[in-house]
Parts: sequence; C-alpha cells; structure tokens
Amino acid sequence: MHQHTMPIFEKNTIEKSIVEKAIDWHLHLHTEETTPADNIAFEAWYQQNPEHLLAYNRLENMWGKFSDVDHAAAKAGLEAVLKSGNPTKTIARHGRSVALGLVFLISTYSAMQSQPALVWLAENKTPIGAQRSITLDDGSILMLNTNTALDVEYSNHQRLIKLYQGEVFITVAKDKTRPLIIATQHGTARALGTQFNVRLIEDSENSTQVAVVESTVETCTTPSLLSIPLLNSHKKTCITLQAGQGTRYTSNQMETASNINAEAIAGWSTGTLAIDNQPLPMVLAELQRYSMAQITFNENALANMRVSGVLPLSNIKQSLDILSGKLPIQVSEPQDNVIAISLR
Amino acid sequence: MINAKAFQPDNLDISNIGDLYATNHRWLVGWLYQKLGCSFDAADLAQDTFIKIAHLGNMSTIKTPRAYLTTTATRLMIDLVRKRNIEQHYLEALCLSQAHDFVASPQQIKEAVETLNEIAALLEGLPEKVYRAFLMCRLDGLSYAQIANELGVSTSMVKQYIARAMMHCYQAAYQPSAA
Repeated sequence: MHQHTMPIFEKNTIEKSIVEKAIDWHLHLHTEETTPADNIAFEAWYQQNPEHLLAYNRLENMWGKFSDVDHAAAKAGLEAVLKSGNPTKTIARHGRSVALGLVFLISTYSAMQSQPALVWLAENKTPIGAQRSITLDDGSILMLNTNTALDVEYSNHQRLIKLYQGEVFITVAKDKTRPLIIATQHGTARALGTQFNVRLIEDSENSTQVAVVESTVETCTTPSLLSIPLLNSHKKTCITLQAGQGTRYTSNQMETASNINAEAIAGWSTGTLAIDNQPLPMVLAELQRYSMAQITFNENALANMRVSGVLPLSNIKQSLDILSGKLPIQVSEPQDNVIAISLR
Repeated sequence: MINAKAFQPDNLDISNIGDLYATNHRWLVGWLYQKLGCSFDAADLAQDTFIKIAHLGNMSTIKTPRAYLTTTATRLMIDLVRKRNIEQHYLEALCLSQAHDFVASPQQIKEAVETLNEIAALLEGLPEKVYRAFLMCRLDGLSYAQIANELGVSTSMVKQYIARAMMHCYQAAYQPSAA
C-alpha cells in the first residue's frame, strides 16, 4: 500500500500548499476518527498527483521514526534538548554570530571535562621545581610557580589568562579599556588594580585560591556547565577583595573574604616559603610541589610537630636539611628520587 | 563514530581533498582538542569534518579553508553535544521507567539516540507549546482534548500546533536552507 522506504534527501521541492494538504490528511488519518468516505477521498487525493504521493510518504517516514524508540524515554531526551535556553536552539534561531557563543560554551564545557588535555596543550608551562617570569604584551608581569600550565589570550576587549594547573602571581599593568582576568575551572579573578596571587589547589576539594597583595580584585564563580539543560539554574557569585584579603572558591561556592598574609602566600615569587606555625606534614606537602623526588613520611608520627620560618624553594634538599636542624627528624635517601623523613 | 563505509563515497575528489587534509588535518585536530578536551572526540570529529567536506566535490571554491573547516566542525560539535545530551536523558528515563517489557541492547540504544538526534534537529526552533503538543500526540498518544487541557489552549489550536510542527520538520528535512 503506502511505501515507507523513500530516501530523505531528494531534489524535488514540492509546493507548500500540497505539503499542507498532505499534513492535513496525515493528521486526520492518524489522530482522528475516520469514516469509509474519508478513506475513499484520501485515496483519490493520494493517487491524483505524484507530488501528493511523495509529500505524504515523506510525512509517513517522519512519523514512523518514532516507532522504534521507547516513547517515554524519547520524550525525556527530546524535551531536554529542546527546552528554551538550550544553546543548540539558540543556534538555530540566530545563525552564525551565536555560533561563536556556543563555541565559547563548548570550550568552557570541555574545560570542565578534561583538565589534563588542557594542561598538555597549554602554551606556557613550568616543570616541577621551576619558576618562570613572563612579561605580557601590556607590560604586566606574570610569574609562574612550579608545575604550572596556562594560556594567555589577550584581545581588544579583555586580557584573559586561563590557568589550568599550578599557581601564578601577577603584577597587572594599568589598562582601563581592558580588564585582566585570570580564569580557572572554578571561576574568575578580575583585576581592577595591581598585584595578586591565584592558585589552583588540587586536593579532595579542588578549588581556586586568590590572595591580593595590592589594590582590588573581584572574584566570581563560574557555575558548572556539565549539565547543559540546567544552564539557567546556576548563578554566579562574586565578591570583591581588598589588599590583604583572600578567598577560596569552587564552581558552586565562594568563601567570604578573609584576612590573610598575602605577602607570605605570594612569597614563592621571591623564591621563599614563609611558614607561620604550620604542622610539619603540611609543610612537607607544600615542599613536594617543588620536588621531583618523592618526599615520604609517616603523617601520624610527624603530626604534632610545628614549623615556623622561611625556607628556600630553589633547593628543596637544603630546605629539608634546615628543617632537620630545627626539629627531631632525620632526612635520608633510601633510593633514587625518594627522600624519607623520619623521627630521629 | 568513524564509519568505514564513508571512505568510499561516490563523488570523493581525492586530489583536492588530499592537499586540504595534508595542510590542515593536524591543525584541526588541535583546534578541536582545545574545544572538546578529548583526544578521541577531536580525532573523530576531524575525520568526520573532512569526510563531510569531501562529499562536496569541488574544493576550488573554498577561499578560506580553515574558516570553512571550523564552521563545518562546529556544526558537527553542536550535533555531538546534542546527541550526548539526548543519550544521557534517554538512558536516565529508561532506567527510571516502569515499563520493563524489554531490555534495550546497546545497539538499540545507539540507534534510538541517532534517531532522536535527527528528530531533535528537525524540531529545533519551534516554540515550546508547539513541540510539546506534537510530542504529546506522537509519543504519549494523547487526544487533542487531553493535550488542549495540558497546554491550556483550545483543541483547534492543538491541531494547528501539530500541523505547524510537522511543516517545520518537513521543511527542515526536505528543503534545507542554504547554510
């Protein structure tokens, strides 16, 4: 009777009025009560013109597509992508200019997905234990700490630095026409002034830490884009930090500003680690960031020891020796690339 | 993802596509890698982009190859993102659904997602009430009266909505506008 095997892309363009009539018939036959008279009338129309036949069969083809899918699940899947605010829907309406917006969304989306790939592809990197200073096009001085990876994207309307891993300290050159923004997967730190530190902390919580040495910085969370349909349900949170203040944030949460020793936090940029009464295991974990060799120790055994002082970051072995001079611990090298700290 | 059959299309212009590929393939993979953050996706999409362009035949009209490549690749990315989205929700709904008459095989699920992706592309651009009316009719099997009740409109409006949805899909499928 009616064929169901027409290929989709045919060259014939059928007049709109014929398609409208075909839709009319299709809906009537599929969704409404029909009489024998209806069927006869339909057959007559169907056979009258090859274009009637073609238009109708195409509609049958489209209609039939739903047959092989689980209906309830299909509805869930389709409604999820069709809901307003969905980036693909915006594309259909606005065309090329929004394509760029979508591409930006995708790149931020992918940033959520795979930091290792972004780290791998980054243009500016430091290996473990190394530090580097870059002077940017606008005169800003960007210092990279150990094991850091970032990209610099300056444009006419903004100065963007994407930090994928590690820590930077920046002295921002004044440019009223372009804000300087350091972005991580968690959010942005935007400079209205001159000197601040940004660190991506990769522990169980995975957060970004900002410390301001001079002037003002505005930090904002970037809500996770992992669930595109939920795009509208996450709002960003912003706070303003003054000199001597710091915060930590994840994509969903911003800590309130707290008073911190910004100079100490940014001390690495002058090659030193300033410690104020910290537990030894924490200090060792921090030193590990700068050491290719694995620093091993029993956390419980050393937990009660506290450290204060200034340690050189350019020579970790030397720093550990300084510590063993202050505390009842000994430093040994049981094998290549392993440094063991134990009770004396 | 990479369809082996696609390597022997009928009108593949080998000489021109070869140059385009040699000059731009690595660059395109890198560009896609930046966007997607996944090496497998980037490699697959780069291949699909060249295959799609190869079917056009005449390369000489392309003045700016990289812009052309990224435009094509972006469309494929949109498609991929949408398909992944559909898949996620389809699978969730299958898990939650009460009807356990059959267990869908991975192949069935893959085909269903492909089909839904095609349908979603056709329905894109329609206002919410219009596509909802269409889906309630076709997927839930509701009557015009029931749909009218749900959407808060008249039954004649419902029929108009569904007809409009079908026209929209028809035009998207059979009269693709110049991109």
